[in-house]
Amino acid sequence: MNAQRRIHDCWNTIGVRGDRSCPELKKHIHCRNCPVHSAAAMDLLDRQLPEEYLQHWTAHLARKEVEAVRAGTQSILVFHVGAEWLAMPTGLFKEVVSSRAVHALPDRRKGAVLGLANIRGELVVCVSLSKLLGLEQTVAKKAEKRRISDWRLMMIEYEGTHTAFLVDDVHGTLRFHPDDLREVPSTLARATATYIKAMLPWQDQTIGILDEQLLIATLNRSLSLATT
Amino acid sequence: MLFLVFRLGQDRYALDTAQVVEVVPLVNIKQLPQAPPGLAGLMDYHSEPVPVIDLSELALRQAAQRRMSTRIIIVHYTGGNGRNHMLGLMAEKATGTWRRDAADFVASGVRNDGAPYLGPICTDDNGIIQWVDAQRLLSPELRHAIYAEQAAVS
Repeated sequence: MNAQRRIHDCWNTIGVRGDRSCPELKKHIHCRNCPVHSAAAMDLLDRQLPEEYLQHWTAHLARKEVEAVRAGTQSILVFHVGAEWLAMPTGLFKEVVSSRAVHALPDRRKGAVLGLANIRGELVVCVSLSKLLGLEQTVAKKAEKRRISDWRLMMIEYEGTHTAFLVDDVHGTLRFHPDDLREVPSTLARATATYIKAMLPWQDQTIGILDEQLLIATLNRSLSLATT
Repeated sequence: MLFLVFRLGQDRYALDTAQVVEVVPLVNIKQLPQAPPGLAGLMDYHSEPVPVIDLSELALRQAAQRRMSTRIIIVHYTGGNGRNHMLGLMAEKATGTWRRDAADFVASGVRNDGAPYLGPICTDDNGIIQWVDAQRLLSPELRHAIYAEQAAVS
């Protein structure tokens, strides 16, 4: 305890927590950058062992390590389109931004491609996931209820190209183990099912994991048709 | 390269962090009767016995002080038979890291056969720091003592 009394806590009197009159402050800006402060921290670390310190750490280190995460888990970003929870691998995503003005492309007002959006100065093709997946009707019904401010543009990078998908809401990332995946029921005949490669039970919902390869391939095809 | 800095007496020494598994606080160590000097004993590291070397005692014949800043550095150690082991190094003031290029170190110019683990040196504002190679820390005598012990335990 002697060591604690010896410490001269200048940062409380003339430093950032005091009247800031210390001439060294000009040089170091903040006390945490000052060698006097770090020397005091070193003194604190150099104390005698408190009671039960050895006991506590011996018991703590003797415990077997618990595996925090199962090996081989993968991360997905979960989002919401209409009534569906969908997801794609987190690694694909560059950025998620709030919804913004989308500049429509002439002669392409009906398809899934909404137009171009400006994301950090880059013009990115903007696609409505609900239209692409044939979820239009649910969206139309829910459109009144959902606030437009919840809409998000998710920019993904695939083989060097950036594409932004408009979705109703983004939930966040989720880790799962491939063993937990379920197959897509064969009775599901909607257009959505084509693009879903697996289902993941999550809380009381089921998340459809999108086949990004197929999705982007379809998209690129329809885009190149438009330009030729 | 990132180094872990500790002290032996008043001087500073650096250990390559690539060799370090973890730095843990001081714990109770089970002494080994008639162990050679430097071998502090065994610690229980996640239900595995890990031999602990007291660096102060090994180098300066003076046991490390029992203080908060004295810590045990767990390092990878490859035994004579090529097997990987873990080794605990009890070091005083093992409280900081330090980044330096390997090329900044120069040969100390002093041959010290008794301490083959002492490597090249480097200077900074606070003086000289010497590189310690954990792999060469154990003398044949110590290595024999430790791995004979390990065989008896497992």
